[in-house]
Amino acid sequence: MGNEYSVVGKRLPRIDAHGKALGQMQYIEDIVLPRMLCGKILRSPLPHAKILNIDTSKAERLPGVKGIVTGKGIPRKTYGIVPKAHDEYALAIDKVRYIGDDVAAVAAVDEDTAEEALSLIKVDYEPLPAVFDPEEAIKPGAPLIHEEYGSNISAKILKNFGDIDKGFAEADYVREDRFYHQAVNHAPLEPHGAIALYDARGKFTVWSSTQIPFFMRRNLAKTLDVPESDVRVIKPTVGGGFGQKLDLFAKDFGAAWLARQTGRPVKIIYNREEVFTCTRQRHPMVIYVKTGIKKDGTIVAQHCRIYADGGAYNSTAPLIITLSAYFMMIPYMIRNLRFEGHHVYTNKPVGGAMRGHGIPQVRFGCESSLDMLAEEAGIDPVALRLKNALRANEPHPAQYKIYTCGLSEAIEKTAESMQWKDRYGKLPKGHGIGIAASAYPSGLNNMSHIGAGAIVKIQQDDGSVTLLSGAADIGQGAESMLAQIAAEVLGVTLQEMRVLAADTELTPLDSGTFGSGVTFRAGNAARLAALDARKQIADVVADKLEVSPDDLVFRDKRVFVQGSSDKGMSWNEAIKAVQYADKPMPIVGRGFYHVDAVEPTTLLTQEGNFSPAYSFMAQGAEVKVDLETGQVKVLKVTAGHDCGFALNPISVEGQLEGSVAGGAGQAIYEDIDWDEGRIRNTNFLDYKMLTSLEMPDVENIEVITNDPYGPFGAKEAGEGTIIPTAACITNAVYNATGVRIKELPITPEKILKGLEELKAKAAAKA
Amino acid sequence: MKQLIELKVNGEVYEVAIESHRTLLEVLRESLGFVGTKRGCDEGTCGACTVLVNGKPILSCLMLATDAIGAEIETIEGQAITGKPSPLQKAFVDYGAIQCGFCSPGMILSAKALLRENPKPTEREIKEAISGNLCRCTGYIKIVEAIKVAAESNV
Amino acid sequence: MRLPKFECFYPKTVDEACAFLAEHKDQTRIIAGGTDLVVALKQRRTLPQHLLNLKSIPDLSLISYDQKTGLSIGALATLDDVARNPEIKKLYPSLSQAASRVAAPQIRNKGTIGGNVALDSRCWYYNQSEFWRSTRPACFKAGGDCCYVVKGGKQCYSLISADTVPALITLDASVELVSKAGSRVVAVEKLYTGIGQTPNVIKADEILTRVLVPASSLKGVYIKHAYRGAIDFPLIGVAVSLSLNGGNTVEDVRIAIGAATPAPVRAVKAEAVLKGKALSDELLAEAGQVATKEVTPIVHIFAPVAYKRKMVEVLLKRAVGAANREQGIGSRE
Repeated sequence: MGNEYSVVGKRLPRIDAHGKALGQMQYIEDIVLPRMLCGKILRSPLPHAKILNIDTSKAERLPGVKGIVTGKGIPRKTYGIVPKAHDEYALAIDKVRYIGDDVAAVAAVDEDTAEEALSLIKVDYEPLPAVFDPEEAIKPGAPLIHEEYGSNISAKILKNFGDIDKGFAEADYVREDRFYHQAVNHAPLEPHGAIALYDARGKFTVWSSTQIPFFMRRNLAKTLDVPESDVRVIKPTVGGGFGQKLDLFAKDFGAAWLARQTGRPVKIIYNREEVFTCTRQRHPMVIYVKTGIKKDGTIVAQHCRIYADGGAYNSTAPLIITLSAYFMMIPYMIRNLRFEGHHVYTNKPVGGAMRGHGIPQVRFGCESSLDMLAEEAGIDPVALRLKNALRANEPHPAQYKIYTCGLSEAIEKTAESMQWKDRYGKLPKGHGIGIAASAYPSGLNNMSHIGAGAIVKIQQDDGSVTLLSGAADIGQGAESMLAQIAAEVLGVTLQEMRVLAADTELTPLDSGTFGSGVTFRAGNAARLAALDARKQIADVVADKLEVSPDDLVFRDKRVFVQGSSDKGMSWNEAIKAVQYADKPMPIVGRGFYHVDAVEPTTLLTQEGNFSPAYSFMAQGAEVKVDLETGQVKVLKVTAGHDCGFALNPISVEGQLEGSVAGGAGQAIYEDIDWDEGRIRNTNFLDYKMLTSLEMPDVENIEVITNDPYGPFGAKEAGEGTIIPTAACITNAVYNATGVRIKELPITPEKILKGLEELKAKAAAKA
Repeated sequence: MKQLIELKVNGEVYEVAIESHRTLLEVLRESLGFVGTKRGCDEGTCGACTVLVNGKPILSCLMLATDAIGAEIETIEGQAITGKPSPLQKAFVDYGAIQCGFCSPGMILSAKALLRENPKPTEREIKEAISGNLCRCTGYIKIVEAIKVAAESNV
Repeated sequence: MRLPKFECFYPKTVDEACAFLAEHKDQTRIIAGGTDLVVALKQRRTLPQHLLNLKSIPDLSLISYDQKTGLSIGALATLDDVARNPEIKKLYPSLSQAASRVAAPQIRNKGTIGGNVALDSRCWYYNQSEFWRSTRPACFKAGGDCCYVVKGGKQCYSLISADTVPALITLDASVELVSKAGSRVVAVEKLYTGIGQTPNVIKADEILTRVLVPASSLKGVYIKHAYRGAIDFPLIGVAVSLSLNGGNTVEDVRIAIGAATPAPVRAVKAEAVLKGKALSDELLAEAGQVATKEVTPIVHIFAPVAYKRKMVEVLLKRAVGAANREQGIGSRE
């Protein structure tokens, strides 16, 4: 494998790392335009209320205030992620639905003035009854948050495969449990921001810390009520997203609107409290799981009913609960299955896509359920998972097309590396190990933007290569991945590569960073574009060398004939040859990748393949629990990971390690704490993500499956890897203490309570 | 009322007119253009705004700019040597310690202060030194590795 | 978040500072490291016209030790200075441990011992932005008349969560408070009121200038129980100073518990249980149980009262055990 490629598969530094190390990259807040104004958003102090009147006159009179917009002055156009579920106005009209809801935007000469202006806007509200708990919100008589739905269930899906009753009847062991997964914040280190410019031709340029420039353009055009062609969205360097920067926010709309209103550029940057409260979070979810297995461990039936607390708006619903459903059917073969998903409105901050999107919650429930059944049946948890693991190219009950699957290998290698057989159940009390598994799509087949384009432009004078891609690098390394792919195809090094990305005016259409499709879609597009450019060069060189273009090899900055490496020329000579050819043309390669249009499913169809490829992962955790204080220390996470092929092993490891940090944080600390719709911990003091001191060791076990459709065999890497972490830690905590945690996070208090219950049970027995 | 003060940043003296209620972070970013210093939380909990003041890492979002008069202030912009990354910066680049990069300037400065004082730190000492610099991308492992490598290569 | 507007006064001497304060005390906040106050200002929890900035007074950060008079720490000494000072490390290890466990390195490089001792009490309903607090009626600490933590409570139940305070109490430390009218020395143990609105007895015209620790202090340990190894305030902090009579009979012991309650608690009943007795697991367990009855913990955002109570017991047992081993056992776990 080592010598097959020169650029992909290599441990190369990212192309943006130098700039970041030197503090030179421009993030949204770093951009300054002449005469730029500072914008701020006025927010609702009430969880649910009618807006009776907004008086901005005092604020308008404040010297330095240049523009104000409220819901009253904007088009009644909703936005959102899933077209049929758009339910949010750019600024609240008629009603506010959570504490922090966007009410007005102001632009002023500086931040102090903008803040003062907010305090001068007077809003008359008529408070309405509010509801904060999803299971309360679906009861008859609960206050309606969006009247037009007639219920607080904004989306509902039911999926059925096989015969669930027959399945449970065949089971030797059945159990049903209720689980709860808490709300989690993405907490990218960079807060969200936007800058907008409105030019004399009536066109908007918006710089935004977004993961999806083309979605942003679509939603901005819709809410501003202008043609999409009037809006250009540029993504600057983005300091992390994890799904939180998918949506349009009031800052984007507010900056654009006020830029037009004032004729000056407007910048709006959120503070950390706004990031916590007014952007997105991982949906808190109530999960009922009923699983039946046979004595030999075969899962014969599974029934899952979930209530996702969406907060005040849909954002990604119903996609979120659809993903929850999809991942009931994978990574194990379950022939009889039922899923009932509900997305419920509450008067709380809004749920959205977050790394794993709807799946960590259900897999936490399912993986816990499996471990509990394994114990009842006297089956080893690793053996149980291996028994049911999906295999490549097996007929799948939901018609998934799984071309490559390294799940069994990942489970086996993970268990082996953890010395599972020698250690499971044999460690002293307070010390334990646990395992869990998952899968993840490499992009979705069912979204409106399912394709990605790329353009490769080769400079005819010096042979340097510019790749234009709409893909949005938010820190995960997308641009470096694309550069590696194009460089490999063209036989150049990363030194020649420059990537110009995520600018809706300059770069081709791209679906953006979500659903882990960037490598698959944009990576394939870059490969195709590079191949196209290479062909243009090959035609000329082949002519010169009097060989067939198909016989040429592009590698290590040389173009030569396959099998006789001395017959050829340098890259620069090849480029020169093109330049001096008859009727030379600029070398521009084009590529577009989209998933096979025959296969896509919709969100609501029963069957169908929803992703071009699936990654698989098994993770094992080793924990130590302080039996007196209940504190959990995660010592190590061993991660077997099938990402097809690691285009850059450093990046893949980095994604994995970051996933473990996030997953471990969600397992033991991270928790959005509510008080009647207010988040009490909108800061990093009380929203406890791991510091360097709590980070466990991570062992990365690469499982290579070389997907036939992935670029150089690559599949998704780095999003799915967060899914099994909390589940395997929970299982390890059970192994260490006998305490089964069904509600995350695993607080010390829950451990002590569990230990006391065990003691009482033992005493009652004796 | 604005007053004219002098701040010494990366060895150069800058004159700047500011009001009393300006933080060092605001003055560095907005008045002097040192935007490599990042604003992550603005309330002293994330470490993104870390700069060195008289050699010690501090949070510039919690420091009054006037408190920095007469001090040696070091920001990320002063770390490169004639445009070339310092060995520490290079180690961050080579060992994958940088993903989104937003924590990197603060992280590098915390590491720099550590290595200056303790050229051969243990892994535990490295983790302690960066424990006030949150990172959401990397899980810290490659950051710790990079600092170790930089220490071994004698910065 | 911008700071509200204020003027910042840099006095050259303590006298000058006292004179300024005498004149402007109602409109002035004293700033030392600023790591707590700057956040309070940004959140508009306090809106002074003036900041009296002690940074400009020379010698206010000196740490000195004398065999007879003991330890004197200038209020402006940073927590990092205190944590690393070799004499403090050797002679007052619990103080060094406590200072080394405050927040994170950057905060310890800026935050001061004086600031930590005079740290305002904290609460999850009060230490919030102006916007957040505006979403409901003001609590006692914000000038209103209710408490959201203890429903129906007649006062503010915010917590003193400073790490160094329990250690200083067990070291029998005191603070020097200076005003234009003169100076007084108050024991750290007597500094806190237990009433969140006015959490300590420092008057508006007084400046905390020094922390004084007697030479005769007993050696001890500080154990911080927090979720994470950095950044967090303690869920509970327990300090124990101990001397043994020959073998392992407790000659003298002082125990202080921080962050559990509005004011730190000196666990005198638990001390009485231990005094004159030989240390054993049973004795430690008994002392722990007695201590939990001396403390009425206030609920933590992530931990109910019962858990905090239980932790008082566990940590006290551990702290006495650790003090007995005369090792400054780290408490990162």
